[in-house]
Amino acid sequence: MSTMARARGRLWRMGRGSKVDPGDGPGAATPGSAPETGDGRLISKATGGDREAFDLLVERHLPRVWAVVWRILRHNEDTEDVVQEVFLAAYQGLEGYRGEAKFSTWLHRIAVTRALNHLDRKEEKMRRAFRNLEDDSHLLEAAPEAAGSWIMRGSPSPLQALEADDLMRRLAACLSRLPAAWRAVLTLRDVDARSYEEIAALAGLALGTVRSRLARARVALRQCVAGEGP
Amino acid sequence: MSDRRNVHPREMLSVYLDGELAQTERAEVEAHLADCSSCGALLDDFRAMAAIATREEPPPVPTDLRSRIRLKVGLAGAGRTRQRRFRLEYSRMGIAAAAVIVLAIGLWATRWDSAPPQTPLIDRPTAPDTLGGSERAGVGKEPRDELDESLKALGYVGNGSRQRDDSAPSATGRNSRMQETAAPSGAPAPVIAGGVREREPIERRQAKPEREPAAPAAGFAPAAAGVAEGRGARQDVLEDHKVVARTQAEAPLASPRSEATSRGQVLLLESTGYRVSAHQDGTVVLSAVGYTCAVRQDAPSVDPDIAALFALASTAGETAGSPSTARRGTTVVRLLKPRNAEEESAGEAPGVDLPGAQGVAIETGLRTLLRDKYLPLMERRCGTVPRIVRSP
Repeated sequence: MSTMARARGRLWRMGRGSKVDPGDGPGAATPGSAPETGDGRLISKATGGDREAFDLLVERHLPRVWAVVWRILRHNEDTEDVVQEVFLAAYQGLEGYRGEAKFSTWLHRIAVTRALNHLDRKEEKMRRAFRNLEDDSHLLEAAPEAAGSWIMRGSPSPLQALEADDLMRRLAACLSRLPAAWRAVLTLRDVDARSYEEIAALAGLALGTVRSRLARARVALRQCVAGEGP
Repeated sequence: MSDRRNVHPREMLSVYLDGELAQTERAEVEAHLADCSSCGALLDDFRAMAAIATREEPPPVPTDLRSRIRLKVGLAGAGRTRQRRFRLEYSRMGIAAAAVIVLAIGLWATRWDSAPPQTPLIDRPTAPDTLGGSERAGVGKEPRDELDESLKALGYVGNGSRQRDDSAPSATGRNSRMQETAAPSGAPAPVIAGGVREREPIERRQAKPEREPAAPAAGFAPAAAGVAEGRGARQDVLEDHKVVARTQAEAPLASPRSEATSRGQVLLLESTGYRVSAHQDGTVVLSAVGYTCAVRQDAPSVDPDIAALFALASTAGETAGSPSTARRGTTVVRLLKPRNAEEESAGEAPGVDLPGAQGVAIETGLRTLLRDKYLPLMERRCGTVPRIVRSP
């Protein structure tokens, strides 16, 4: 079996079926698990003004909140700012937390909303970035040959020829270059496994926009990873 | 089918991958996939990228982020406490004012024809706060006492104005020198605070006219003029609770070296015209030309916001012994550490500049802490802070 085929096999095994629930990622609490039980006690104390209890909540949930925000922003300094905002918002909104959802889920939602708000604050910059790619309608409508000569030759996709590690590196670099709002929907879908409706609600977008933005993001990302992209 | 092959349903493929297609659309895509190997490969790549994206590890959480979150949350909490404290203070002051009015009316009704003229304990020519009138009345509990109690009840205490002892020796020696400078003839120096003449010993008050100008000192002509106009400012030193006359021309900024003392490390923010230092024991000192005030939260443990600032400072990359010029505009944030005799004699630098993101975060934190929590307290304890401290 060729290296390419092995890599491809690994990629296949890492299919979407193995995706975790947003609330169950690293550092997250699972239903009935000790951390979530402990969260309840800490939340009660923190709501009563116990700062140490809140510090412990921060300690528990910081890694996952950091990951969620970073994946959307992919910018360390911006992520630091937004993560601080997230915990401040959580602290100020603790009294409004009714325990209907897990604390980690509640916090995750705040994190996503704040990260998207942060993107909105950079709207002008974003618009400029979007114009370049949103106007590239060929991303969705191109004829097969425009997607790459490999199709015409019947040879494997450049992605398939990559080792998994190399693919990971390229993907990371290309995700950083992707327009932030495209990346945001892509992350919400592919990493957080959010439904289109949830993404539309979180990002304040129409369902059709989520759909087309996701498709454009995937095509652009693929072109970039294959070395054909923008 | 050839049409389908020429116009590849890329958006549909993406939606198909996500399982969000309606049944008819789904069937259509599957029919296309059966005929189009390039779309099959595209779908595989979409899947692969999604899987890889899931595995991607974000960079590690910065070590100082916890401290910064703690600080931010703490400052937000302080803002809430401050609002609550103001509400309480205003209600207490309202009660006190009502009580004073009632007592004044009572006194006027019963003693107006026989009462001797009352000597004001404190002369407040510019009345910088709302307490002046009632203090002049000199009846009942002083509103300042009332305020002290309310501040204590709320967990704050200032050092200085209630515990001053003009006869106490100066720990730093600087105060004694300043007294001598202000009153070279040996006459007691008038004690002036932010435009407010402070209380003096009874015998001194009785022996002097109320507004005795300071004796002019050589080289300090503007200083004497400042005192004569009542423009002096209070020097409120924590160590010896000493209050001496200071004027704008006389008062240098407190030395940062002297602040890294037995109270451990000091976080120092130097800006144009003033300096703020936060000590490890929770004391916050504001030094400006003609104004110094030290306050500390009255609690068994150090103010958690100050502790968070120090935790943040400890994570900053230190360039020990080499104070850099990591300036942000006109502001420098520096961590001072007490030096032992060996370091002192070797002339090692008293502190290190805090560069980069930590420095900015500490500066922001210190400014916010000062504005929201400590300036109101300082104004009550030491008088109006110079305008330059409040300017952005």
